Amino acid sequence: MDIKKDFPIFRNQPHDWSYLDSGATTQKPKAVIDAVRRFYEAGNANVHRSDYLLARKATEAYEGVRKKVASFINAYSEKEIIFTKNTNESVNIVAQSLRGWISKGDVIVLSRAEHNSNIVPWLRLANQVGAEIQWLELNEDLGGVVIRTQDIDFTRVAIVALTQVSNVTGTILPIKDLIKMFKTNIPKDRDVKFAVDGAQAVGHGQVDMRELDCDYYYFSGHKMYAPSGVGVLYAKGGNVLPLLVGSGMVDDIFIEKQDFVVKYYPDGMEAGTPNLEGVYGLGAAIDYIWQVGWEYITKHEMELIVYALDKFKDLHFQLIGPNFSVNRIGIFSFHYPTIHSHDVAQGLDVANVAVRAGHHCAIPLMKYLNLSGVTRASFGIYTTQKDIDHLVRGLKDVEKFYKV
Amino acid sequence: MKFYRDEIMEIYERPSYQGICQNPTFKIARKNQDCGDRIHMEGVVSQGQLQQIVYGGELCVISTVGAELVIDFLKNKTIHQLLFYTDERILQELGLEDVRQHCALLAFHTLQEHFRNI
Repeated sequence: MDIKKDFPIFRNQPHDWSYLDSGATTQKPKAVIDAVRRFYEAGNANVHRSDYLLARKATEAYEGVRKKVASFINAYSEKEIIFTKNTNESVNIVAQSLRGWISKGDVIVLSRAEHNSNIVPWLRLANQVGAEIQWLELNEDLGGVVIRTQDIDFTRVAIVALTQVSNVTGTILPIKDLIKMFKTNIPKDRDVKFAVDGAQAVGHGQVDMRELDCDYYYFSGHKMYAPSGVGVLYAKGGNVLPLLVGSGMVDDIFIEKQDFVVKYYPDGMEAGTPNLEGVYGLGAAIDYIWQVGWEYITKHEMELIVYALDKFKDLHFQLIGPNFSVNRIGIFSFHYPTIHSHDVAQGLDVANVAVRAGHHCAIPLMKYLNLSGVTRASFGIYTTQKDIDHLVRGLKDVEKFYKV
Repeated sequence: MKFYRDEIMEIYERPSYQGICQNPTFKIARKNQDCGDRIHMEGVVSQGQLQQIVYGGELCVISTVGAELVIDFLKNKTIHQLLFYTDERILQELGLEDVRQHCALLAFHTLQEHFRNI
């Protein structure tokens, strides 16, 4: 299958350009770009407001994507799906919703592999209410987390917020088993909320809300071939409060009582005119993924991982992540003790290979690894073995230049 | 293949201003917010003049060379002069207009912000 031809960006870059930064954002297929354009050219009207034909159609299209997202992640109902700006906004909504629910002395559990966006909103919540953050540490091969009873006080746990996939190591955490483990160890009278950051997971395999059994799941459109500026928050049973209030979400305003009533869920969660074209584009991205098919996507990625790990044997870097192909996605971070990550990335840029360098918005993980930065190559649906060969050739040149 | 010009690599491989200072009158630490690099700088200011500056940290080729060249340029200049240099002027003076600017200017910004705030 020639996936690259579906993505116009590859026609507008040098022919030997290798894009290995899909972990930062994915490129967009023509189907998504066309959907956004089609919305403005033929379907643009505000949603949930006016009642003429085009406005009704726009609302139908918008709500149709909500249904599509519910089916994409196998939620129980589309009413559990809220459109946000991105993963980061979704985490903030969940954290601030739980402000009145969590108490002083309660524990919020995070893992060492979290992205800053699934740390800082919880740090703020913890500081607002006097809660404590406890951390699940990574195991030695960076292929998972270790649960040590000295790290976690199960009798005080109120919230567990974990990433499904590390954006640095590519490790897939066994979320389903971790949630089960917490449920077994936490006293039965405690009501614990489980939140999962799916930002790095959604484009790489089928995620299933009924199977994961979490309370909240959040992800961004732009990491799964959809436009930027649209994200999703799944909240089981609609268990969240609006972070933004204003138009669109309010049902009634009472001047005498100085009060307002919020609309039923999920409309009451989306204040202001939403990112209409973004949501529409997200729908097209889901259609595109379904059209390519999970079977192809997962098999193709696994082949690339096996191929890459084999080719990396010729290189002299230290791989920051599991050196095996199971329970991981196509994200490979690496470190040369004598070359700065930016200088590695610069060398690859000269060779037309796009990678990311730096701390990757995972500051606690970098501190744990005692590194200021790493270089990361991350794969997408369009990545090929040729791209990996290109990366390896580029790195060999870098090694030669810096005499590694 | 060459990733940086020879002049840049020569400066990187033989730095002149790394280390610590005997009796510093100022000490600064700063992070490059784009990448997490850390630089620390210290030195001696006497009668409003930058008499000695040294630096260290976890730095890439460009931020190292940017520090070397900017120290060379600022040595014996006054704090007043330091505060009024623009980014464009510094990049031009250092001959680093064609490289990553947030790295090239890390040392300069570290010094400028420190003295602007005291």
